[in-house]
Amino acid sequence: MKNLRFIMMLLLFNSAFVFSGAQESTYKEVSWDDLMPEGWMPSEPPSDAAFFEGETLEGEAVSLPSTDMAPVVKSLDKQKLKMPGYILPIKFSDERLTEFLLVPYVGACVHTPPPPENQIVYVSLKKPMEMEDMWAPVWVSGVMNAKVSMTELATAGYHMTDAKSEPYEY
Amino acid sequence: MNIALLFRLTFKSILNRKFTSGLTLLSICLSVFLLLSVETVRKEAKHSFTNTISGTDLLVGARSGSVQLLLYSIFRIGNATNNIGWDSYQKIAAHKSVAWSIPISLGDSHKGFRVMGTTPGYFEHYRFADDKPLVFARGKPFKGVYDTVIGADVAEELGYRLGDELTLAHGVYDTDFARHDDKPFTSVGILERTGTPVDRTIHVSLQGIEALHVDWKTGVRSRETVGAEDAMDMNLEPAQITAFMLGLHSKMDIFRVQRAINNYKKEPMLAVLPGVALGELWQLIGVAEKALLIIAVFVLLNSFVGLLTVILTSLNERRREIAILRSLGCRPNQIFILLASESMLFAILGCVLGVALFFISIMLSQALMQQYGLHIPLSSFGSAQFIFLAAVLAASFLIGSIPGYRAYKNSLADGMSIKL
Repeated sequence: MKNLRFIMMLLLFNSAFVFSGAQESTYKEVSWDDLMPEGWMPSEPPSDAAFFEGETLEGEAVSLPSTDMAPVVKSLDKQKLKMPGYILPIKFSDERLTEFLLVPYVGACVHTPPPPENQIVYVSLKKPMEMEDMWAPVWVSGVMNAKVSMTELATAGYHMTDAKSEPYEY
Repeated sequence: MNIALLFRLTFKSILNRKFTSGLTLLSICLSVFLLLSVETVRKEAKHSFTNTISGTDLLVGARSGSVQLLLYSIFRIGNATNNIGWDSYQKIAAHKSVAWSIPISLGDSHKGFRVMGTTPGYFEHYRFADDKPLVFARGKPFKGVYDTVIGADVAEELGYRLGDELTLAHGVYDTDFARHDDKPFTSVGILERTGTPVDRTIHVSLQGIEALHVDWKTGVRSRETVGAEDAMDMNLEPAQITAFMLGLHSKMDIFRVQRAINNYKKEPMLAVLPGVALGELWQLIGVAEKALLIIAVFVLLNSFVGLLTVILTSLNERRREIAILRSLGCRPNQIFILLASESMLFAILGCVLGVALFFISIMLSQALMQQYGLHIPLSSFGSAQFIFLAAVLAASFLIGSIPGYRAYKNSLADGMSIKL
C-alpha cells in the first residue's frame, strides 16, 4: 500500500514536470539570422582607428563614420522567444547574475569585429542565477523587446526580459 | 516502553560513558563548526568580490591581463603594469557613446592605506553591490587640491575626523624617507562603510596627486621644494592616470567601444567588461574554494567514522545491558531505536554546539575579518547552512542504524551467555 502511494506521488510529480514542459514550448525558437531584417546587409564596421581619433596614423583627417544602429526586426517585439548564445555577464545581485549580454559567439573572440547591434541581445533574468561557464553556450528564453530608438528606460536594440537560461544541449 | 523512555535510556547510557562520549561530541561539534565556517567564508568572500564593482560597463588600463587590471584598479591588490596617457583618456571620455568616466590614479599610500587620485565624479558614478552609490557619512566630496575623502576603515583605524591633516607618502610603503610632509592634506569627507576596498582608500583629486609629485620630477626629492601654496599655482593637469572606468549610454555599444580601445593605435590599452573579469577571477579562486569545502566535508565524514567506532565498541560492552532490556520485554525494534537515537543525539548536540561556536567565533573575529575586507554579518547563516545541518542529521541517522541493526540482529541468547 505504501509503495503504491509512493508511485502515485512520483507520477504526480512527473506529470507536473511534463505540464511545465508543455508550457515552455510556447517560446518560439529563433536563430541569430532571424534577428536581422530581411534584405539588410551588414556593412563593414568603421576602421578601429577612426572610432576615437578621426585621423589615420599618417595624420590625415578622416571623417568619423556614421554609427547608425543596425536595424531590428520589429515583428519580434513582445514575442516569446528562445535562442542559443554565449553569456557576457553585466550585472550581479549578490553573487548571482541578473543581467547579461547574449552574443552569437564567445564574447572574448578577438578575431573579428564586434557583432552589429542586432546580433546582441540584452537579457534581464527573471530569477538571478549562478554564474555559469562563459565558454559554454546556453539556451535563453523570454519576452523579446525590439526597440528602434533609445528611450530613458530602455536601450535600443533587442532586450529580452523575464528571461531564463539553461545549459545548451548538444 | 515509549519513545521518551527510550531517549532517556539513551541519554543515561551516554552519561555513563562521559569521557568517550564527550570526545566524540567535541569532534562532531568541531567538524560542524568547520563546515559552517568554510561555507560562510566562501560565500561571503564571493559576495565581497562580486559586490565590489557594479554599473561600470568597461574598465580601461594599460595593456596587461583582464584579471590583473581588475585586481590593481578595483581591488587595489598589486601594482599597475603601466600608466596610460591623460590625452588618451580625454579622447575616449569625450566620445559620444560614453555617458560618464572616472579616471583613477594609484601608487601612493598613507600608513598602509592606498591613496587614489580621481575626480569628484567618482562619488557620483561609482557603484557597488547591486547599484548602490557611495554615501558620505560626514562631509562632502573634495574640492581643493589638498582635500581628501577617506574610507570608513581609514577613519576608524587611524582615528581621523573631519578637518584632520594627513601626510601622504610617495610609493606604496609609508616610510620616513619618502614622505611628502611639506604638503599636508585635510580630510573633508568620510564615506559610509561599503564592505569593498573603498573603505581602505584615501581619495584625493588628480591635481592633488600631481601636487604631491612636483618635487619628485627627478626621481628624488629636489633640494628646493615647492611649497604647498606655490604648487597650486603650477599646472597641475595630470600627464598620466592608472586606469579609468566607463559608463556607456547603451550596453549595445560595449563591444564596439571595447574593441576600439583595445585597437587604439596611439597607446596600447586594455578595456575589459568587469563582469567578465570577475568571472575569470572567480574561476581561478573557485578551485581553491571548492577544495576547502571538500576538505571540510571529509573532516565531517571522519568524525562520523569516529562516532561509528565509538558506538560499535560500546555495543560490545553493552551486550549485557541489551540482553537485560530484551529479557525485560524490550522489542528488537526498540533496541534498534535505542542505538540509532544515540548517534542522532550526538549529531543534534554536535550541531547545536557547532552553531553556537560558529556564532561566537564570528562575533570575536569580526575585527580581524574586516582587515581583509571581509564583512561577515550574523545574518549570513542561510539556507546553505541549514541544508548542511540537515545533511549532518540525516548522515547521523544512517550511521546510527549500523550499530542499531547489529544490536537488532543479536539474539537474546547472545548477550545472556557470554563466553568467559
